[in-house]
Amino acid sequence: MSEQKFHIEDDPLDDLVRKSLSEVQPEPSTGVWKRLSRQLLHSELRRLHFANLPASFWGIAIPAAVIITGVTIYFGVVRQGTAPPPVSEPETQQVAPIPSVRPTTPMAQPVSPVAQLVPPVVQPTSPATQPAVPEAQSVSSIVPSSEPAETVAVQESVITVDASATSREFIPLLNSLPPEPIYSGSTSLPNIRSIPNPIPQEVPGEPLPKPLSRSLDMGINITPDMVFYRNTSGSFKYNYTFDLGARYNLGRFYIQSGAGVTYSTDIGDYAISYLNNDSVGFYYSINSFTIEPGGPPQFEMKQVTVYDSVQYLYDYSTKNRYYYLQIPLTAGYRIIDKRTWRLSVEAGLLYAYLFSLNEPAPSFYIPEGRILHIERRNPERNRNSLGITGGISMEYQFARNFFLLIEPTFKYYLQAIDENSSRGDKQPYSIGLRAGIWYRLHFKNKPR
Amino acid sequence: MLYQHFAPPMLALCMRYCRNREEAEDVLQEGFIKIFQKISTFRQSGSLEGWIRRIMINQAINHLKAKKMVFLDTDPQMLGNRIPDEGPAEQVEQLYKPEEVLEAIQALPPGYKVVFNLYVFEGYSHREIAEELEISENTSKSQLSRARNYLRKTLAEHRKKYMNTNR
Repeated sequence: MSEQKFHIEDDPLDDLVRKSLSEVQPEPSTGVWKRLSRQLLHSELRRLHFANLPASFWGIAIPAAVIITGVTIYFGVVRQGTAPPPVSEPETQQVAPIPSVRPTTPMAQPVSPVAQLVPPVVQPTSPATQPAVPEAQSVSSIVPSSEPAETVAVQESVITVDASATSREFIPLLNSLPPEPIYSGSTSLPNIRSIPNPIPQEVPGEPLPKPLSRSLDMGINITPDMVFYRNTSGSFKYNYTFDLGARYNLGRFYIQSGAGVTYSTDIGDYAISYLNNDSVGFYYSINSFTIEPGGPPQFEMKQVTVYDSVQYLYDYSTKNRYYYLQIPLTAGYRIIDKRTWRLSVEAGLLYAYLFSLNEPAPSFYIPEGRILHIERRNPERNRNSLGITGGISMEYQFARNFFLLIEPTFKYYLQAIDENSSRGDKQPYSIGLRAGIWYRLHFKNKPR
Repeated sequence: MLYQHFAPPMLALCMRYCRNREEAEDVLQEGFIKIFQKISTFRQSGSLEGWIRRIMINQAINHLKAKKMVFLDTDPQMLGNRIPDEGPAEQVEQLYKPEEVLEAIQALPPGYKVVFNLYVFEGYSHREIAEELEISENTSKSQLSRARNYLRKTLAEHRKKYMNTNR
């Protein structure tokens, strides 16, 4: 089975040992394969690192990200802003074209110098426009003129009136304006003056911009993280973060920050070298011997064990605890914004500060030995660390102002956790799941 | 499957280098990680088992190096076979169960154990062992002598127990 070669001058003991163990082939326990496959998966995950990705990936990913972002912004912001307002919106009302003005006097009659108001025929487009009718009458006031009648067509237009503000603000203005000649749409309306309509008019296809909604969210969250230190052992640790977050929303965009406390553990690795007396061999001492005629000498022997001071190395582990203050600053965009649920992407920076730690010292007792040296194998941790963070936030609104948040997060630390760069655990990253409950405070938009 | 085929003999190998089965399984696991990660670098011209065995031995030695194994340098001439012959080989084999021999090897100090395994089971010369472990040839020889004496002592104790129980 093997390619072993053996020495010509072997000790009989060597052969004995080889033969004894030649058939020994124990089956590994089932846990070995489980751990092995899990570690292989972790090593594959570790290889999936931004710096390791091939150039072809970036060649596809960057244009794809630009296209997706562009399309999202176009349909999410530009198209939303230009879409016609819904009919039921009370703020905006459409008024029918300026009516054909019915003359109050026959054409042949001389026009009275007294101003005459001729109510236009207003055609409401929906029941909601009913209250605007009197105001519309005022807007389209027509003042008769004493000038000779001319035959000029009256331009028809569609007027968009903000019923809440426009009339109140502009009617006094209208009344103060001097009369101006206007020409009627038919030869039957001479000497009519019209005041130009100062109300902002909607150009077809370009509605008035809708104000962006503003709100402030505040929430409390917990985030279990799997932190991959990227060292040779391939292990990962669990971190737990409790945080208070605040988010300012402007339309579909938001800025988020807050403060959190992260609890993290690690193994304190110590190597303790010590001296201890141990047997290093033995020999046979001859106590006496007898010589009988015709036979070999008979020896009486006793075994003597040789002791020596032997240096040993003992691995000692402790459980260290670390507490970090984490302050994120992220910006996000809401891709999907439904009534009860929302989906957002966010990314930003993360600052972490180690404000408390508990590293118990090794306690090792050797009854008959002497400790030579205690070596600390894992270096001290850095106090400050900066990282980038990102996530996909899913929100479910279960009450008027409350919503639940579930957010898979990714954090990549730009600095190592400890001060020794030779350890190979620079720039750890983590994958976590942030979950919390949030409260939304709506801001009212100022009237225009 | 690669693992199913090679895991038992490789575990036997690891158990000779380690103190117990749990430690050996850890070494086996780390060794197979390297095997799976580097299987693409294996050249078909050589023996797959030899390649796997080489990785496992390196892994076991690295494991012991991490434990800071100590090589005490002693003149090998000072140590000899100070135990009487055990008798015919067949009788000796009947005396010891494989588990007892394995236990005795596992109980060796790390320095002895590595040299003994490399010499006896892998067929390394003292020069090769010296290069592999970065020690002198004399150290390798002394480690081997010490290992043999240590094993003899341990096995002799087993023998005494065996004789006492069969009287």
